[in-house]
Amino acid sequence: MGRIFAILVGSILVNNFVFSRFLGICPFLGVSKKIQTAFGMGMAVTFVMGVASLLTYFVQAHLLIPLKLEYLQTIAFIVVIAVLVQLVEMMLKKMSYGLYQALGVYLPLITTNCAVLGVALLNVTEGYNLVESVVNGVAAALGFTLAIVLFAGLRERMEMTDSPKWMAGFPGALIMAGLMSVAFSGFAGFLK
Amino acid sequence: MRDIVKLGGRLLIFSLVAALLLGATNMITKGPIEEQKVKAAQSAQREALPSADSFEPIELPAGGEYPLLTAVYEGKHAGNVVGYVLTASPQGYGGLIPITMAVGVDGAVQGIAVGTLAETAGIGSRVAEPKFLSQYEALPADPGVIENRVDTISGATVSSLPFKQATKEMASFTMNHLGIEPHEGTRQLAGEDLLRKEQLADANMFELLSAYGMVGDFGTIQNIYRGIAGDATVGYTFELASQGYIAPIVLRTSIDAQGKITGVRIVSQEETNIYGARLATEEGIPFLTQFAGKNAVSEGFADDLDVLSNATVSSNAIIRGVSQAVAFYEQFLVAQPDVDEGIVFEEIVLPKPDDYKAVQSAQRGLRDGTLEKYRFTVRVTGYHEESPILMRVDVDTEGNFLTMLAIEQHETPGIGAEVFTNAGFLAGFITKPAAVDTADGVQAVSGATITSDAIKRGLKQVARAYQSLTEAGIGEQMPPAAAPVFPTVSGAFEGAEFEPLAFSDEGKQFPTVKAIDKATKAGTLIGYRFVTVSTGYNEKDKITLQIEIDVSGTFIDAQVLSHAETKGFGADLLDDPAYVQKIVGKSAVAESSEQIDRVAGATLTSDAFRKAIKQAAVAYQAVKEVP
Amino acid sequence: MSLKKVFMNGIINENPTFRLVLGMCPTMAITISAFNGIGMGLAATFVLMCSNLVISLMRKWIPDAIRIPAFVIIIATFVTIIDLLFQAFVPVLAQSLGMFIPLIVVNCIIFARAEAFAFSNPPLSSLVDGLGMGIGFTLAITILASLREILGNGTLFGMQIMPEVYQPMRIITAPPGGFVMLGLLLATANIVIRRTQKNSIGRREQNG
Repeated sequence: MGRIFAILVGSILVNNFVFSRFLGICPFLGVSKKIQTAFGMGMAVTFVMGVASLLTYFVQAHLLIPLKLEYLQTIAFIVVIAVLVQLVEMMLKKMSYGLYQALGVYLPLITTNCAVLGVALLNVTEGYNLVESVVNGVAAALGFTLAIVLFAGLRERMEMTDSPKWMAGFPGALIMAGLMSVAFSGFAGFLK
Repeated sequence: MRDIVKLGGRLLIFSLVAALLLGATNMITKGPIEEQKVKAAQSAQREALPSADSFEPIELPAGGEYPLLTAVYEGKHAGNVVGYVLTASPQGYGGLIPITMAVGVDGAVQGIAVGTLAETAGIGSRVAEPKFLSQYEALPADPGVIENRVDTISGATVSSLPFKQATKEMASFTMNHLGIEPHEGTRQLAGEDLLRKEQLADANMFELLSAYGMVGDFGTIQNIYRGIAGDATVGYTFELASQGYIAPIVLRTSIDAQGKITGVRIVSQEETNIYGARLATEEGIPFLTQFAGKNAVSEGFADDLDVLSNATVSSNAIIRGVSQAVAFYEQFLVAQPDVDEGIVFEEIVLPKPDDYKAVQSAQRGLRDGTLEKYRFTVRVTGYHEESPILMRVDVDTEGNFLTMLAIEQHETPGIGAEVFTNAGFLAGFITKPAAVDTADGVQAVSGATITSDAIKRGLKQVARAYQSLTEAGIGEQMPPAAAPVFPTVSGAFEGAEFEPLAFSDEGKQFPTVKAIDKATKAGTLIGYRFVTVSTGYNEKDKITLQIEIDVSGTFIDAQVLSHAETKGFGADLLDDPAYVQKIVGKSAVAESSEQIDRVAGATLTSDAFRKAIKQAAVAYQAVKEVP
Repeated sequence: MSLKKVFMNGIINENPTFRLVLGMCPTMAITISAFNGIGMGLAATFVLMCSNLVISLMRKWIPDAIRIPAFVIIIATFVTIIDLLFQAFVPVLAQSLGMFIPLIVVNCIIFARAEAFAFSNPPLSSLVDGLGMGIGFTLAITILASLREILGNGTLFGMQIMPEVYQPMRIITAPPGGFVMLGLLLATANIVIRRTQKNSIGRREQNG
């Protein structure tokens, strides 16, 4: 139980995917202009990352390792994720149109979100078991959501400010993200 | 439907081609990747346990008792188990920290290494620094010991704490699972300690003594290290910086437990190339080696040291530095023999007790009826008002502070209590006049000013008491000291009459000369007879010589009165009249002693002999009656 | 478009890092040493060129509907190849780039070039486009990595280049430094580009 808690705190705060592992930066910068969309993206990513962690665990433990095909890990994982995203999109469309409308637009973007493949690869290198993998996937995604929503809040405010032209847009956003990263590095003391 | 089959078919073909391509690549790279992995693992294992030549994996127990351990290998040398290599990868700040630790069958940590860190230059990488890792060296493989003796890195606890946790788990595995009893190992010295060990071969650890505040007489001393083997002190290493011709010459010299200098080495110098810098080359070796084996006794230390010609300033700088180390050693570090042995202490009544109320008692110490020192007991209040300090201060007959020590003190350990042994503090007044000014001038130990000030107050009281004693002349009322009488033998002055000559040696030019007799025949002065006592190899029983010089200033006889040098070495020399008598017929000047050989294998003895001859000549020049 | 133009396009006009702001994850994550920067750049260039070439060659056989999964498979294949090659022959680089080598699969640059260029252009110019984009990416991340290594560690390619007295700013090689340094670099690029654009606009006006 302690270990699960450590993974939770570790992945949400200490080793935040965005601020300390540099995973999922593209959507972090691309879909963070409004809190609303940032939250939507975060939820979609959380769902996909949780399920992807589950599936890639099975693929790794029950397919690649027994067949000694570990070298196909990258291609197998990315295909699993691509198929998963496609399926989720189709299922959402049929089962809950409301949810589909809320999350659907983000789904195609998720295939190329390196956080999803990243968490799958991390689960393997860290040697997590099934439960730990899923917890890590969800926690990492929640960390991503936290980062992107906070960042969107700041960016909304920054839109109003009168910053120098050469700082407007990405440069300013990146420096702001850097400051947030400094703040998050303060969580480092949590894990002993 | 057809479309789906068609599309699916295409994708399937893509996948098959991709799989084939990857399979082919894998075939090519599989071997090298395996090799790299084995190489990486083996190099880590080798690095951690160099004594083993083969490694076999051990199965880890199931049950999650050792969650951080990733692998354990048994290291063998020629079929015998020599130790175990354990690996773990705890989560640090920037990712996993791959640790490899080796535990020998003796139960001590033999080596520890950190693999490649994800965060190569970040905060967490500080666990890979030698300063942190060296804490594990030779530690008993016991989780409790690791907990107590390994300090985490402040500012990098996120990495150093899991690191420590993982190593504790490794130690617990070897102790509880493999049943290896933890045991302290011998530390492999590293860095500068290795250089110190060159001079103190027996030491397996060096401890820095507090040596701050060295000024004046000990100004060249930068650092003093105590060489330790187990619990015993095997010697002291001095790091000196003595001003040469251009810049300070940095030196390292050591004095072993027998009080002998083991070597002098130039660490760095910036002297002029054709002059002083030669000392650091082969040319300087004869100069530097003459220190080795010398007794660390400051009296006459530099007398028979030859300087390198054309490099006098630099040579003298080195001599000055080493002499200061010797003087410091003699005063503060040497295990003092019981100096009070043979001294009789008598109480004396102080004339003005109200002027120095803290002084509890005063005594005078007599050796064979000769006044040797005064002893005062003083009570002062230090840090704790309820338990004052009781200290003992000795003052020599010349009125200098001789020693100060605490008879009773309850100052804070590590702070106030340290003052009593702080070399810099003691150097502020020891050997200096017992006066109030001296005590005032002593620099308090920073961080322990209250205790320092208390001691200074005590010293002032002693100074006042001493002054009042001398003013009243109380201490000196005693029978005149009898000059020591040496049994002499008949020498070259046949039928002469001998009459003791009172002489003074204020400049300490010839301290080995203990007695001088005037030889007269029929009322006419025909020469002088000198008795010298010098220290050879045997420090306890010294070499006593009888040397005769006639009025023309020529050595006419030399005889050994007593010695206890080693048979086969120094004794053979002194028992050989040819060697002892070699000086006869030479002119009685200091340079004549140079003509006596330094004998290899008996350097200390021959040096003592040369020194005695030289000083007899010097004494002769000082006392001879000029017609 | 001439091949030269296609080539220069990736390095300057549409530099993936400075102009398109793509592939940010590896750009910040691995740029703690110049050596890493070059390694990552070369790996990405290899994948870009190979996938561009193959996709362009097969663009007639890949139906629109399955182009995304097809791209994924093609790109992942080349990424795995370079990953295995690195592990086998440059293990040091494989170690320090870690999972960012397999993550080249999801590097937006490669997807973007496959979709925007290779899928609708002939093989040769696709190959050149891959090379240009790859070099543009390599240059950008090597510059960033060098700056971070110099400021954060006092070294360049592992050699001490700052004077001994320089106290390295560790935070530059820590994660926050990645964001801030990239932000400053992008800002500098913005300024430079605005200047040159102003000049060229000026010239054009004169010509007109």
